[in-house]
Amino acid sequence: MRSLLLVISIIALVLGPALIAYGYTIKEVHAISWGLIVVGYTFFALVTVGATIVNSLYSVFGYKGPGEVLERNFKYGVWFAISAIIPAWLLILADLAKPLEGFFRIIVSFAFESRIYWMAVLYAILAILLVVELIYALRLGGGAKSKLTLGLAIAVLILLVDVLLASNLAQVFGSMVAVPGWIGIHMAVLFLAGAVIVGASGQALYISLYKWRDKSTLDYVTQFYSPILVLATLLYVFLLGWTIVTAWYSPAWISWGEIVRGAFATGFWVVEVLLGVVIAIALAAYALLRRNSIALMLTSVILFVVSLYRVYSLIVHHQSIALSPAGLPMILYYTPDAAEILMILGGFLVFLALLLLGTLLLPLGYEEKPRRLWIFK
Amino acid sequence: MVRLAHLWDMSRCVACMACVIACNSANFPEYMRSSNPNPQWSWLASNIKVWWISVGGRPRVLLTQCMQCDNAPCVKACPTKASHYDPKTGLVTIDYRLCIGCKACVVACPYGARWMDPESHMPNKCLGPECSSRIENGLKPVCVTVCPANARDFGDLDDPESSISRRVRESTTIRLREELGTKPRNVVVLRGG
Ligand code: SF4
Ligand code: SF4
Repeated sequence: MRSLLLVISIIALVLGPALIAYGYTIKEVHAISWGLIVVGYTFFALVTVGATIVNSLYSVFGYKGPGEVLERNFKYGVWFAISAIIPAWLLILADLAKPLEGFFRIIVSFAFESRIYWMAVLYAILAILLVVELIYALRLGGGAKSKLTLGLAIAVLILLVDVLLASNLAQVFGSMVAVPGWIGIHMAVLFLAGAVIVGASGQALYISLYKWRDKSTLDYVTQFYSPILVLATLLYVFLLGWTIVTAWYSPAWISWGEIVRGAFATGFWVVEVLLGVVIAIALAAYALLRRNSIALMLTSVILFVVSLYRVYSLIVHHQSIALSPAGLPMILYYTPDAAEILMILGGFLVFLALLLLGTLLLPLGYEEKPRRLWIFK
Repeated sequence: MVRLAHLWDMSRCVACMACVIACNSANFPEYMRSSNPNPQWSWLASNIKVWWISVGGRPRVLLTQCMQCDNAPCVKACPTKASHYDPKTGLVTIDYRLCIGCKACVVACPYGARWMDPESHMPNKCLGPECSSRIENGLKPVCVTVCPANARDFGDLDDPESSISRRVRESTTIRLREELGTKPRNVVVLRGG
């Protein structure tokens, strides 16, 4: 079984980048500039940020979670974050015209005024820190020991870079005066709350799936992640409401109005509100009260998918309705093309393949220690 | 200090689109073969964008191009400094050796003045290669030269003797979407002097 899974994950790891590369060669220009590929990139970036914030509850604040579930699964949490950052990188590079020199050109430009410049810098730092944290935790084994001074210092740095990265990513959009719907200050907090939702739901699903035979762990996972998902969703609702109220009194209403009661209203009320708030909170509350891990997994799947839609709506819908140079509303029609869909599929394949490979090859279990080549099982 | 800018006189423009075609044939001759080579604007490969607006219930045309903002969002957004102020002319220019095609400048521009080349996936904007070399040689851009209604001008706003400065002085003018703080240099004449 293990060999079969290994073969599947290696095939997926080759196929994913191949799909992204093929999509790159046939991608087209659209009426809006940042489409589905940027959505995928942002989504994976938020998964990494959210997962890292959840990890920091243990690594920075020392909270071990019910039944020490957070401590015992800490290395899985770090690997989950690393697995998401790689497809994020692949997708954003593939969105460039010159992916091979993109990162280098950005770094050597010292364009301090550009938010994208800071994204590249922060991303590079976060990726390095996450790998260092993982190797450190793998080498030490267990979880509690990573609270040693060096472990704590790495964890604090990661949390800091994480918050900066999410806020800066939000400001990549929020600083664009050309798109009124991207309200700067609100974007940052929305991104942070959204990151916690998608990071926590992804982690909950990942840990529940590989521990599906371990009843007690499933129980602790349910106790730990259900309240996080409820609280983060409530926070997101508050921030979203605040954003919409602010938009009402500003030019941002031109696109927010379409989202709340216009062309995009069905998606907003059905996907974002009904599925992502009402059903998700009800299911998560049920999971917590009844210690029902299936309900938690269902909540996690729903929130993971709804988060992708939320990012799509935040990025694409606001670009679709903007103001012309005459200050009049204009509509830009956009539908993702085959190249973009292939690239997104490629990104998800890479993500899932890395999760599987890491789980199979790395000593991520609490008691496990590396035996081969410093970091492998 | 030179502050080069375009002027477009709405009251003189007869909407013949000669400037749009001239921009296309001078700056993008390789795109003359296709009928829809600027998919971003669903329009001809030209750096002049055509907007149909309604004034007092009657249709009017608004022609826009890069506004040569003094506080250009595209320059700020660019992560490689490919979009920059040309040190010689002060015009917002793209250095294609540095550009990586991230499209941040296209998203950042509140005038929709940039479009992505469907083949190279690099951004285009006014001034194109032909017009840039004309300016370096002391000539005016092609759109100004071909306009049969004298609705266009180009020159130094800081030179009181230039034709553009004189026309600005003698006309009722606006600059588009100044409320965004972009400080556009380009002038739209509502009523000519
Ligand atoms: S009009 Fe657009 S492309 Fe031109 S300088 Fe201003 S922001 Fe840049
Ligand atoms: S597309 Fe080129 S010019 Fe525009 S922001 Fe990106 S690197 Fe700069």
